[in-house]
Amino acid sequence: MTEIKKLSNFVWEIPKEKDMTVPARLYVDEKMKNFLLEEEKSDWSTLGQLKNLSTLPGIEKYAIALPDCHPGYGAPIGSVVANNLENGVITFGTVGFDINCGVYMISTPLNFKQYEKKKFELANELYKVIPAGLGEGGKIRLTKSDVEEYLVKGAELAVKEGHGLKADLEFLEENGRIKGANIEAVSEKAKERGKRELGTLGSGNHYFEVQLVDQVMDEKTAKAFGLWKGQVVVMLHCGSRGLGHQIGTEYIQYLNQASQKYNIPIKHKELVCAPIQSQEGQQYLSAINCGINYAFANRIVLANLGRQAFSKIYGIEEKEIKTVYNVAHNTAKIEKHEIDGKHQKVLVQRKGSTRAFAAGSKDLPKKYQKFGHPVLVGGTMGTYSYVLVGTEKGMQETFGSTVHGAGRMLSRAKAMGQFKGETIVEELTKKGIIVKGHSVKGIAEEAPNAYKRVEDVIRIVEGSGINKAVVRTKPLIVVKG
Amino acid sequence: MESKFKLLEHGADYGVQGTGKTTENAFEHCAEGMFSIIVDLKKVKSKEKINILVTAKNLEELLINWLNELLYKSHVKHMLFSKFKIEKIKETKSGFELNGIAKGEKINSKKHEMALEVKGATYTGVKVEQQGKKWIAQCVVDV
Repeated sequence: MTEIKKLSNFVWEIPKEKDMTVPARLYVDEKMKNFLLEEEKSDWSTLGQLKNLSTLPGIEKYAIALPDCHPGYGAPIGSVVANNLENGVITFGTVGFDINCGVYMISTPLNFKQYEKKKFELANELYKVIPAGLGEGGKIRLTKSDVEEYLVKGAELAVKEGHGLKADLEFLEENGRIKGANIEAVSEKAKERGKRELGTLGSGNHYFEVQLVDQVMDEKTAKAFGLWKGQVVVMLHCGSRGLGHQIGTEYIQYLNQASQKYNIPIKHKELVCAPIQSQEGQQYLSAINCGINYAFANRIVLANLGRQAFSKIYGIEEKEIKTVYNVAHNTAKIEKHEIDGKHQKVLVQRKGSTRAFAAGSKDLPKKYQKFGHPVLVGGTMGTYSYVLVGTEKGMQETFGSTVHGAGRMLSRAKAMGQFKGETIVEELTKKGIIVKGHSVKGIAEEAPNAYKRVEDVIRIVEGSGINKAVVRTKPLIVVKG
Repeated sequence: MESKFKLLEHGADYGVQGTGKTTENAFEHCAEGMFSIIVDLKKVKSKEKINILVTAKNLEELLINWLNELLYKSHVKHMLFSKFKIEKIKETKSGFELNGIAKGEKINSKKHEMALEVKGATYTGVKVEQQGKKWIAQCVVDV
């Protein structure tokens, strides 16, 4: 059993053991720590993966697991490492297949009463216009050169093509276009997969949700974010679709060769990696950036379809429906952080975790400079979601990173055995939530009880001081693949 | 009759295990298992045939390449597959070569109730081995 030392009620440490190059840190409470120790007995465990991750060269300070952590492939989902650029590596496991999966939030001027009047029309319209579910292509068809342009220009191009407003761009991480995206790093096969999926949701845990701000914990920050109690908002969760999956599929093998070439000992086949400065590392980083841009474009197209639906049903002007923020999970980004009193550039790899920059950081919209950017934490179908904000403590301790959701507790196989899609829809309907799902089986796998309680996750990130809660939202309409 | 494939527990995803008398059978059944996550296999008719050719240095890599190539073809051809046939896995100078066929039909969202998208076959839990008289081929797929 792994030795875990208590640093505080919400922060624990796995001291350096065997070939770990750094210790590992866990942001969990006692109950979750015990859950993780119990889980260690199974074939694929979070702690095992976290320790494997900690053996990679060039990690600064420690490898981090956040309270929504659960087993992934190679690295745990809900983990963060920052690698120094001189001798650090970039690894497949910390980005994975769904490059820049993320959450986009928009706010509307509607209150609950106004929403109620036409809620069924809205639900039907959203179900009609949001391409969700497997095999459902969107309306947009791209040529290979269009795809290539999106890989470089991301959401910026989407706006130029009329899939969003210019004002949205400021409120996207990286303004919706990350630099250093060289299309040569992406295969023809990946580009092929990108031709018909721009503006599609996909399936699994991806969703489009209409929500109500039901609690405001930090009035001042909420106001800056344009949020108020009783307001109707939207959160949508999706990523780079088949294009990103294809990049992932191909780069596992590419990085496998690189690991051998550079003689980097690998604990797990998905932790294959390349030195950041090597040609292979740079090429992978470039492919990731292309995937990031495609996902930024994908989300803004979907957000804009949502905006148009609200505008059509409620007769609101499109510009009144605003982007609150757009965060990215599953990324590897070069950022400047303070380490041992010195500011230095590191490659921050966030697997199933979110950037959470505090007030005064770079890359913040002007309006949010004094507050930090909104951190969007999706709950699960039928449970609360949260908007948090980063803190200086989070900048110091977790490289400005935090959780991305509630985090699974039950495997899909178990969830399928325990829950029935039809019953879940019935229960949610009783709570006044409208569920529009394309797959009953998919709904059972995403059952709220298959996840950790999002409240517990939030209590830990607040308790440890790495974030502050701003508002809580509850679901009204869920559109799922 | 013993089932040809089973789904295994994994934190966020699914493990898929195919069993067969030969390596080829085990690979075919693992592919069936993977597509069973995506769609009810009984609803997919064998109307079209797609050829698949993959190579790899070893059998584990060959399994992953086989599954990922099937996902790719399914995606770009907008098809679902339910039957798989591999004549022979050949040993070559540089490793292995697999020549196979996937049978299925175009996606019809009204007819095929689809559950989940599989993003990729991963090396987590990957295993291709003989156990007694049978072969097993397994890995975790990312959904």
